[in-house]
Amino acid sequence: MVILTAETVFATGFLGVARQLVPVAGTAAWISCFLGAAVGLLVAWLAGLLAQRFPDQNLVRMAEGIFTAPVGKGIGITFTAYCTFILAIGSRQFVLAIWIPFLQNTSPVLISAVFFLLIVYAAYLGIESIARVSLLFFTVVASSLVLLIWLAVPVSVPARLLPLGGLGTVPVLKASLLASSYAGECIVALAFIRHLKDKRGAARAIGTGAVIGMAVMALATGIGVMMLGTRGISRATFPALETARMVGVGEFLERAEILFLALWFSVALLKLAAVFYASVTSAADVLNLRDYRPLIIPYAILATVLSQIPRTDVETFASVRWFLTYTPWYAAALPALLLLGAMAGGLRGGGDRSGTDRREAR
Amino acid sequence: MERIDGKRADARGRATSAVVLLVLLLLASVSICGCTDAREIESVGFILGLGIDIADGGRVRIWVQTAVPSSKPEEAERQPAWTTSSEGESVWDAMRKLNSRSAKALFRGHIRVLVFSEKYARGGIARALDVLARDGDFRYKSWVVVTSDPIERLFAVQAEHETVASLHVNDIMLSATRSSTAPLSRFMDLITSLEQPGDQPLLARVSLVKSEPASGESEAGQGANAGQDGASGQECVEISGSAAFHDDKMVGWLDPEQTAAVLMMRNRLRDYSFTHRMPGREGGTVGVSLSGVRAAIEFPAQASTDPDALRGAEVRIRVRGGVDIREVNSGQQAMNRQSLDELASRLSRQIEENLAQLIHTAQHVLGSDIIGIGETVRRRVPSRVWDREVSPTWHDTFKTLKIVPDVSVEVVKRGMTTSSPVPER
Repeated sequence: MVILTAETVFATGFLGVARQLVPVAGTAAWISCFLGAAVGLLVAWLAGLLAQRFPDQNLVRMAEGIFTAPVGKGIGITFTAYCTFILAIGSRQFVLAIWIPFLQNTSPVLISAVFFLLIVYAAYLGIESIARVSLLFFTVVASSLVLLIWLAVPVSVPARLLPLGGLGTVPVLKASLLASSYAGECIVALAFIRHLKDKRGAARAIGTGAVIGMAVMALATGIGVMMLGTRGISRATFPALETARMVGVGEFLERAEILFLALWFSVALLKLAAVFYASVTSAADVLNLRDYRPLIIPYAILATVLSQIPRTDVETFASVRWFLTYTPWYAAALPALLLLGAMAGGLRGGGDRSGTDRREAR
Repeated sequence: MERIDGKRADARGRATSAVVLLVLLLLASVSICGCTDAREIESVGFILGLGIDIADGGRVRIWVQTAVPSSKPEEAERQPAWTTSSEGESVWDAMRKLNSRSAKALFRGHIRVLVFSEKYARGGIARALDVLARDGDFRYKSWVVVTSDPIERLFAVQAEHETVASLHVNDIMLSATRSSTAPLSRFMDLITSLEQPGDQPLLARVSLVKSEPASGESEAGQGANAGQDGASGQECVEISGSAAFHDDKMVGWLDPEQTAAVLMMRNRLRDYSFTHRMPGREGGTVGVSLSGVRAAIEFPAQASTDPDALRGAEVRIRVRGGVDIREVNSGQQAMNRQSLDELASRLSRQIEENLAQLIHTAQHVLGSDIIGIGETVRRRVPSRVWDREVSPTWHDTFKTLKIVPDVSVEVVKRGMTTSSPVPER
């Protein structure tokens, strides 16, 4: 759960997080990533309390139990819609990161199709397989980041992070609100909580994952500023890729960014597979389906089409702004609303296994 | 019970197979490199050098040196590179026109050197950087140099060991930046210093020099930074000093000593050697190299809180480091501590004079903060203060500063002998 949450938080966002935060916070953008992790911790705490109250129920059943069935389904639809949105813009961002610098003449629809084929296969295998593969690839990606830092040392200027306070306290707090959107993505973990054996550890697992994810974001932002300065990183389309472009091993290993992107591509796929799984299982619960698998293909087609809606890079980045504006509020409000409702009604769920839960239990 | 265990084992086996298959698919996806836009290597023209100059009427003229690979031994004698030029409204426009004339798709991913003519550089290089920064193929590690010589002649030089001029410039830039006679001027250094508030770019200067009349093959091209005799026996390439910029416009040339002085004050000096003339009747020279030199720029404490206090303030540049003695051609052998201290003191004064002369040039001749004092100020004052109060007038403030170099070096090593081997008299 820790690794799955960490990947959900950083795997697509870290490509462009510096471009969003540095213009607001200046040299202190990396600090705002850590401050933004607070929202992740809040979501984790609320999710943990929910998991303890309703240990064997999924999000939709919880909501139906706390409120009424129609309201519960409505909440489930918002969760599905949110997951679909981050799936669409997350995949679109990564497709752009491959299309703009490398496969310039390849159709982005083709790249998206490859993305979604793998996502569909992972979703068929289920969350356990995604989590296991995530564990393997997280180590590889963490190693790639360590390698990137090591290669960046000769070309980075740590003094570019000065002054530490950046553009001031208020701008840093504003940037941390933006950063909290990425931390808030850990809300997706609500769809996986029921698979945990020990629900008491849910809050700690999600919180740790969110903090690890945001630490990766802070690292990507800090290194970017050290290498390109605040102006350079603010204009880069994909700051993390731009950073990777600047490193190399002597004169013999050039264009190292392709190797890094290949590894990041894998972990982004796993994140998007997890988000896809979350949205498709929630949709199945809303529709009272016993098995989510019949929904996979139609949903994949829908997600592929949705990911093509922002046709240009400008439109894609405008969509990211929506994500940055609304995610922290939704991520904090959803579990808070459920928890308040449960507390008000004095509800505590038992072993009610229904919907996709029943199928998983079989 | 056994049946249940068997079922569990089967389920676990299936799950493991699925995970393995997913891992393999993910790894395989990395190799999906998109054959739809694949290009055969024979149809690609690999650009090794790109020159940018101003043509008549203010148009841009580009020079492109492209590799001509030989696949068969009998083709090895053929010319290894091909140089051509094109004109346009901008670099991109000229490149586009060149593409339409070329049978091969011109690929910018292997550009080793980007050469600006002095005329173009004085007019501002930012207009040429946009097209390269947008290009995902262009290498950030390409060298960027400025020349006052015709670019077509520069690209025509053939050295003895490297017949392609662009690759030759790449090789000698590696050597020149190690010895700090030229700044580290890769594309990434250029754009980061151009965009960094308070910093100014410094690009290496590449020149054509007449080669010494060779009396034999072995005597040709002795200089460390000099290219060897051209095939024509006329010209060779030399990296000597640098071009100083203010924002994106070139404002003047710096010789190798001045370049080393700038690099020293910006803490970018890697290795630098010079000769010191000994005073007194015995005279002679001492050859030294600097090591571990660190410079610290010190402001009055008030300047951090009150930006107005910067105007006319005294800024002290404290340089500390070590000196290795490489050669002594003097009767004064620096055998004891006192004479070593005296030598270190004289070397410190010599470096100090060089720095003072460079500071004067920067403030009153070039009018550009090539020393990077502005960048030091930016780090110390709040970003908002820098952006609103200091940055807009920094160019003028810099000229009013009283910059005082304060150098102190000590002799660290004397080599494998403490005195010169001399015959007994």
